[in-house]
Amino acid sequence: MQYTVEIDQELCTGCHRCIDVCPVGAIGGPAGMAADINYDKCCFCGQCVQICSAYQEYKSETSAPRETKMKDRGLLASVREPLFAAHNMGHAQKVWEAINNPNVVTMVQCAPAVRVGLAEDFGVASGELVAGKMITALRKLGFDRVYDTNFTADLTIMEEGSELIKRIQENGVLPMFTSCCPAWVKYVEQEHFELHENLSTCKSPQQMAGALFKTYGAQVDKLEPKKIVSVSVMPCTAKKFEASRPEMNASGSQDVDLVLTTRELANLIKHAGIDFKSLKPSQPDSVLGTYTGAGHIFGVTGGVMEAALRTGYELITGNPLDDINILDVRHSQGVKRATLQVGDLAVKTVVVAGLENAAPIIDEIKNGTADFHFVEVMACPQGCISGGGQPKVLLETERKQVYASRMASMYKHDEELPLRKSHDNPEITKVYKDFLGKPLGHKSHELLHTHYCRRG
Amino acid sequence: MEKLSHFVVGDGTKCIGCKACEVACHASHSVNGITAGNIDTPVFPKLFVTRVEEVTVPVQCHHCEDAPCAQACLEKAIYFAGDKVLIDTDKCKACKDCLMACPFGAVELVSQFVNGEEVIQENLKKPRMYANKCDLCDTRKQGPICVEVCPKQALRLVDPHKEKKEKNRKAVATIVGMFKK
Ligand code: SF4
Ligand code: SF4
Ligand code: SF4
Ligand code: SF4
Repeated sequence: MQYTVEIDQELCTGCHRCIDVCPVGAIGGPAGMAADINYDKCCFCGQCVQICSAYQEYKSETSAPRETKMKDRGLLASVREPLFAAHNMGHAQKVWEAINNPNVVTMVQCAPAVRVGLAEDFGVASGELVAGKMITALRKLGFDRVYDTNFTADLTIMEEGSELIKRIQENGVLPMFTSCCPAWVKYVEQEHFELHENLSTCKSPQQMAGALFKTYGAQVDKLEPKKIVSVSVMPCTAKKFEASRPEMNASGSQDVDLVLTTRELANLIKHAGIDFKSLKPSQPDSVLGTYTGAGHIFGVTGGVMEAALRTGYELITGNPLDDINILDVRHSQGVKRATLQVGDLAVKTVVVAGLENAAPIIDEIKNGTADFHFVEVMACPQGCISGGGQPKVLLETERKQVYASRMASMYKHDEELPLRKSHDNPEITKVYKDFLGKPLGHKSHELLHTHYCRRG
Repeated sequence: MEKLSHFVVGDGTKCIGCKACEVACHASHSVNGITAGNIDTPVFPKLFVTRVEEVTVPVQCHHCEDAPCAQACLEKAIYFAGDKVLIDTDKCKACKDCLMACPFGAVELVSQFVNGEEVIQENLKKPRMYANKCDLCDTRKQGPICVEVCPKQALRLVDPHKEKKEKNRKAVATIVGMFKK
């Protein structure tokens, strides 16, 4: 297992603010002393990384100089920002090597929330959407194929929506839990393994993409899968852990080789001397790069739910929704319940924002009082836009506003996109037609679904 | 009489030593952007969270009425602007006299950075330095940012005159209380 989040004992001042922010009580330590992470509990959400403000002072005497610490953290030598006590393990050095290695083919994907955070690290106001510039930057960095996690978010909806319908129609295990947040998945595996069958068997969009790049992508481009280095850019620190799970090798080797956080991508762009702000926008590669608004809103709390309902409604009733904006599931502050009439069926949903808020829902399921069908849980307070790998907000007093801007930008992009339902994505149709067959089919099962294991 | 100058003071019983105040101080003076990725120099705060045994609390300039630092400065780089003691960094020669004169250790000598690059004095092959200390967020309308961001409300801006009056009142209240018993 990769310990993707760490606390530098030498830099930690023992303020224990991370203890307050950790959703699973994984951090401890005597008052005023350096804090420590209990990895049996930690789910690598990185909220501690976001809050910590203790940094290595200029020319301070630490056992290891800044250069050594940077190397140990996997940071590029050009990184200027301070080294904070709570930090995540970086993959930027390895990605830099891969994109400069002529013997490999690099494929990259970026999660929805990355494009509303990335520009902040280049001095732009919070929430600006930079999808096009991000694609151009990735090409300039030297990635051979630039695909998109948003595409597989749409694919996830096809699989997960079908799975939910199947469970409802065939008396399967309900409520079904979303499985795209790796911190939540790890939490279920270690704290409530008896509920693991409630988890959707769908892989997260990151892992679906990884599996497709090295199979379908390789096939289309006539590439040897072994030569592919698949990289993802995520707003999340737990995604590094997810990619390293032994089950995630549907292609015969690790499906996602390296995971960058949004912050690490910004570092990489600076390292290459690319003037991000002046880049001209461009489009990702087809087929694995086209997306709808539904795929995009995966990045906010309630997004997966809304995307699933947009498609599920149509699959069940055969009619489109009157209003595609399902406001009842948006902006969860903790736990948000909603009921949507889908044909004859009243689908009851719960959206949980912040892992610390999952407890009452889990209790209801365990004591048999749960009457809901579908539960979305995101470990981070506002979903992926507030993930542990996003640009780190310097002033705590601004955090709320920054997250609100990122969220508003997500919904705005959804509204602006010509297609807003996953099943309307023509390239999704194409992938099913040419390669996957049908949702929940044999090939999907092999590549896009997974199983869970008991931890602790 | 002129108004006594304000200053920020920390409460050691509340401060948890998180350094959020230091980071905010640097961010508001030297960073264009809202995220850590915009920091392209070392962090140079103008207040210094200091630990003594179990207690942490930031130390910063008291904007002394007689400003020993200014008295000591032969370059006249330290001056009063209204009720604030400020440093003209262009005039500063980094001689460290102010550092020696300040009773609180409120002054630090730091390297100058331009566009993220350390300025090197060519003939000396040494970074150019200047004295740095709390300026009460001179150009910030809302006042000192450290006071705003402290998650424990351990910092406050002291108005010495008001403080004195308040203490006088408390003293009287205590005395009255004593007589009432
Ligand atoms: S890791 Fe950071 S936030 Fe946590 S106790 Fe240490 S200094 Fe404070
Ligand atoms: S990564 Fe998340 S779960 Fe782990 S210690 Fe940090 S806040 Fe807690
Ligand atoms: S922000 Fe407040 S609690 Fe944190 S170090 Fe500064 S004074 Fe102390
Ligand atoms: S720097 Fe020191 S001597 Fe000068 S005004 Fe501030 S506290 Fe007084």
